Parts: sequence; structure tokens; C-alpha cells
Amino acid sequence: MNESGFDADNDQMCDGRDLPWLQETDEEVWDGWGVVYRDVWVLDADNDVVGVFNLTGTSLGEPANYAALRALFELAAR
Amino acid sequence: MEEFAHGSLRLLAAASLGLLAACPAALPPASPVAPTAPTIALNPADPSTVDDLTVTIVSPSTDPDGDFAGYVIRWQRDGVDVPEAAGDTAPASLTARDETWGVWVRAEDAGGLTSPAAFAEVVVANTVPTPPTVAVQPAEPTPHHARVCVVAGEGRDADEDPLTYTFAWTVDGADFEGAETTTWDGDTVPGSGTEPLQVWRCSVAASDGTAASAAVFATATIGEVDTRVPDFALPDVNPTSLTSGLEVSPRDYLQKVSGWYFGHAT
Repeated sequence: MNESGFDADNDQMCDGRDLPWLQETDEEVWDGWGVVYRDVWVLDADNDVVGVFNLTGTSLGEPANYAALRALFELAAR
Repeated sequence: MEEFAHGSLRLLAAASLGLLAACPAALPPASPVAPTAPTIALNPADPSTVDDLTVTIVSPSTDPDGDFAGYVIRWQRDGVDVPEAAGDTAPASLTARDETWGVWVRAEDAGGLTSPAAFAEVVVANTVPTPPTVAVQPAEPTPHHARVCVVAGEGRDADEDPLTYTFAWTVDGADFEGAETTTWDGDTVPGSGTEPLQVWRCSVAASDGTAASAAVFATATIGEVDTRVPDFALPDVNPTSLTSGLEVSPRDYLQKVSGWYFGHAT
């Protein structure tokens, strides 16, 4: 989800990707959820938050980080 | 005492008022004598717009000639004759708030002689509106959800005055002052800052600008903490996504695991 006011390069962000890219509008989701820039929120089947993983300083190119985020998804799927 | 105008409603109402028998018979005098004036009452004394106005004979006319024929009744609204009001009753449908209604009654005998007219008047007052019906929505709110006190059924005002509604909230019996607005001022309590199992009650009264109805109440008890994320629906702007151009919501992914990344394209 792209924060409102940072949409100038949406085309570039979407180029080569087929995942949904949501544009925040007047509906202030960032404030409503209390998210931080580069958060990944993992929700289970009830839309409950299982965990939040912030990518700033924790590159998914690092196997340990990747495994940690993957573990959140696995936890949500139980 | 005002005289009856030419052409005013003439109604021999003795039969309807049942008063012919009340007039004492008397031997006719040598020359015709007019009947005496009756004493009347106009009821109710403090009418509103839902009340019919009825004139009653308190003390009947007497006629020394013994040829009493009946009563002639004339209704007036703000000093102007109302021919539609016939007989001893002016129906509520003819009245409106702040109008002054008067009624003139005189007795008439068979010879056409009439008594002095008896007069009574009342002022039609405002009618208090009826209360609305209300409900709190959602009926089973959680701390994530605002509560709105909705007017499910409008109050009614017999005067057809436009109605407004006033709202007051309590939480666990204590007044709550932070209500916000959805439709009417103060009809909404925000979802933030509430606790599970609190009992919220809203009271609503209808006002026609002059008087307010009795208050009606609706309650809702906050459920257990809802751990679901607040919902939203935002457009998918990726032209190559399966949901391109559609609004996407977390609720679209109930029964599924989902991940939500928050970043900047720029």
C-alpha cells in the first residue's frame, strides 16, 4: 500500500510486478492502523494481526530475515 | 356584544344539543319576546392542534313566548367566519397553532327573534411532537467501531413543524460529552477510547422548536476486544494485477492469510 502523497512513481513501482498496489486516498489507513514506513503486516484468516515485520534495516535478501517473515505467514496459516 | 353578520351560518342546533326540552314552556305574552341568551363554554379550555373544539350550553336560553326554536352557532378563526365549522364542533383539522378561535351562540325562536349572542374563545397552542424511535448501530459494537444513534422512525408533529433531534449519551451511567456527528449533532460516539463490556446509552428527543418530546432510549454493550484490523477499501493501481482498478479490502481476504506492505512509490 502506497501512502497518500507518494504516488508520483506508482507506474515504476508496479512495473514488472503483478501484486496489487493499493493507493491510499482520503481513507487514512496508515494512521488508522498505526503503521510505520516499510511495515509488513501479516493477518490470519480472521483478519487478526499475527505479526508485523519492518523491512527498514532488515533486508529480505538476508536469509534469516526472509525466514523470519516466512515464519509469520506460516504462523498465520495454522 | 357582536351582532351576527348577514349571511352567517344559521343552524338550528337545538336538536343536536338536546336542549329543546330544557326550555321551559310559558304562556305567550301579548307581544313577541326574544329568548334570553344562553351561557356557553368552549372546550377544551387550552386546546392544541389535535383537539376538536366543542361549544356546550351551560345555561340554556329561556323563551317567554314558549316558541324557542334552537341555537344559531357561528365559528370564527382570528376574527374571520369559518363556514366549514358547522354545529357545535370545530374539528381539529381546521385549527392551527396560535390561532384564536371564537364561537358565537344565540337562541332563536320560531318567530325569528333572537337572543343576544353568547361568546367564548380559546387560543390553539403548539402540540408537542411525539418522540422518534431510535437504535444504536452497530447493535453489537466493538472497541474498533463507532456507535451511531440512528433515528429509525421519525417523530411526528401535528403542527407540521420541522423536527430536530437532540442526543445525549451515557457510558455505564455517566454522562459522555465527546459525541460527534454523523447525521445529527451528537449522534455518534467514536470507536476509540472505549472499553469492552461498557454499556452505552443514547437518549433522543424530538423538538419542533417550541417544545420537545419525551426522550427515548437505546443501548448497546461493547463486546469483547476485536483484534481484527480496521477495514478499508482502496483502489488497486497496478495495471497488471488481477484486481487492477478494483477496490481491495482486508475483508476480501477473510479465511485466507494475507500480508500487507506499507511503502512509498516515490
